[in-house]
Amino acid sequence: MNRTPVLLSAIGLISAGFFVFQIKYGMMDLEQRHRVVKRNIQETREALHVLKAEWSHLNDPRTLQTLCVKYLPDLVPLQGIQLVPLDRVLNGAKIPQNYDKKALDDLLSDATKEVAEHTGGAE
Amino acid sequence: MKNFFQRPFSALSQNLGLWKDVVHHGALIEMARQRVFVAGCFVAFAYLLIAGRLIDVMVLRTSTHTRAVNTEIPFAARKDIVDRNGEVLATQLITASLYANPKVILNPKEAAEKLAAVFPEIGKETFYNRLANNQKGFVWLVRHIPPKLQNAVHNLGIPGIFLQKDSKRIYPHGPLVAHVLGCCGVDGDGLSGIENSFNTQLLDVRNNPNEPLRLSIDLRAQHIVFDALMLGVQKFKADGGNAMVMDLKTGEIISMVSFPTFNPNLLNHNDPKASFNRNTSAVNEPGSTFKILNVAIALESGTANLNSTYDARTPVKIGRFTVDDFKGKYRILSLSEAFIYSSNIAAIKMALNFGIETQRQYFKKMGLFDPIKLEIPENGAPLIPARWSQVTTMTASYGYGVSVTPLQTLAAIGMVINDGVMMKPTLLHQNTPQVSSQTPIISYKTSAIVRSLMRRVIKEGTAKSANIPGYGVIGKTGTAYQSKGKGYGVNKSRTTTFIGAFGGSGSDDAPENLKYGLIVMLDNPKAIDGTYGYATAGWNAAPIAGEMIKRMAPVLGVTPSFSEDENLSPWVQTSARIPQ
Repeated sequence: MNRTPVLLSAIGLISAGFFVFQIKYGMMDLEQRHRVVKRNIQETREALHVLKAEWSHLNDPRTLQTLCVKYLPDLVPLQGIQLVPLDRVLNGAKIPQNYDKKALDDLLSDATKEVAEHTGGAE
Repeated sequence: MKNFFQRPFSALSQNLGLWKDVVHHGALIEMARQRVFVAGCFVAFAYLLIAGRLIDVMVLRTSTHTRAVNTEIPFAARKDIVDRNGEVLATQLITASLYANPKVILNPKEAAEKLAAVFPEIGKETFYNRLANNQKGFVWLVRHIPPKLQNAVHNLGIPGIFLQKDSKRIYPHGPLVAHVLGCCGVDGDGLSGIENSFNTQLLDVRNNPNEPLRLSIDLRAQHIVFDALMLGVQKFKADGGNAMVMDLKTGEIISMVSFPTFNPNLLNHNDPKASFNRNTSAVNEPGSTFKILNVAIALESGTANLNSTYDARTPVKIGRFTVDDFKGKYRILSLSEAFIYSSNIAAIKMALNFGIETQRQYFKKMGLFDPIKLEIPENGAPLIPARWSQVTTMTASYGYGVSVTPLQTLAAIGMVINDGVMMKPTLLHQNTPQVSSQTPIISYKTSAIVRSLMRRVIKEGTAKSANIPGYGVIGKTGTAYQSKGKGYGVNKSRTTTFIGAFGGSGSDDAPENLKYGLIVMLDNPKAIDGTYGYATAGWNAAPIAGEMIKRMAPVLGVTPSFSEDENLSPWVQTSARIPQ
């Protein structure tokens, strides 16, 4: 009787059994990790949800307005007359392509000061 | 004993003898080989099946497997509601609820005392009554308790008292959007407002659990309207008030506020009357704001033009009533003057010119005869006379005899302002603007004339306090005496209204493309210091509307436009030097 195939089959069977057990325990481990991850996701979602609700509550416009009135008394709501197109600020002059950005910012900063003087500090 | 040990050995020697015979029997060996081969084939086939299945699961169906693992877990029992910019308006928070099994409570009196120490507002008696009824196996004690109190209950360690995971609807902005959102009951079912209308969709958390319901409301504009209206109601000692802002191009309601209001977070602490949404449920006679529709019909029907004149020297008698003008000019008025001075006499004569049927047909097209089906259940039906007589035509011309909701008034007048295109009001955010399939109800020309007349009301007429420079505000005021029994104005109760629009283009005298429509109404405002004894719309509703527009327009991104001769902005005074 040829013993080699029998031996090989036996070895194969034992290996397959070992491999299947490995897979099974690996799977159980993965499932456990999956459960933990899912639970963590759920907890994080709940925490995020609470934070979102809290953020929304803290950002309630009425609360912000009350705080503004209390701590920033000089800050008043933006009005339409404070908004004009840039070309009107520059009296219709064209802005060149390679303009000096810093110098323009300085100019607008000066203008802001002028407006502040004009409106008595309330911008 | 000897046999006991010898018997197995003798049996073994016999069987070994047989085995020796079998091993040397060729036919038997061949048969055994065949059987082993067949059995081996079966085993191999079984392994092949397993291997095939493994390949199928692990290689071929990888994507399905991954999807199964990553399936979104619905977080809450109800979806969120957000405003048009994604700000949370309603959300679900995980809480715990306390329940008991009275059958296993050993000492209900002691348990009630301990619980009352943690929940003093509920009281010992209430707890005892619930716990002493040992016929029941389940009884709720307290719903939705915060974590701190959950811990306190845990520490009591009373057998038969349990905590169950629960969730509660929370409205982070309290009463700010109350009438639009409505509220939910203790079990999380929508009772009113959007919560009720979209109950099924909001509960369907398995389908796109993280996709909230997006409303057309802009929370920032809502706050401004809420704040200005609240201050206005207090200042003019009104019984209530309401206001709405609508995008005239899409029909989206940007803001909807009604006073008195309620806090949907405090279900059982609100006045039931406060849940009444005056914008959609209240029907009242709109007063002079209907003259906008009257003029539009007169111009559109061809019975009037800008050169038409009306004799407003003597009051008109309708049955037992005499209709006169408020601060009348008592002379012949042009159409423009009749509109700007809000002449009732001229309005009646204008309506009589175009007639009963024309008015009825136009009102029907303008949607004044049918309730507007907004996405909330609180929609009032208009009160229309069963028979549309000449008297009805005369009274309807200046806004009496017909009762409609403020939403209907805004939608109809919004149509007149919006080049005659009627947009269906909606509380849902429109990703793609709805396209009105209807042909315009009035022509562009009529719409343009009415807009310029409404602009003159702001500049020269009764609504000067709503004139916010740069935004091309147009509008009309209306003061309607409230009917009490068979008479009007008993105790001088009145409803004052401002309706208008802002945020468009065009010249200062002829605004066009106006984007936002606005209505402000006060219920029975009083004359105060500074109004010189008047309590008409020009003295209360118009300045409130002006305040709203002034604060809201920059927030809504409306670009102000000033005519060339105006030098309104100090920015323009800055001398320009272009830095090179």
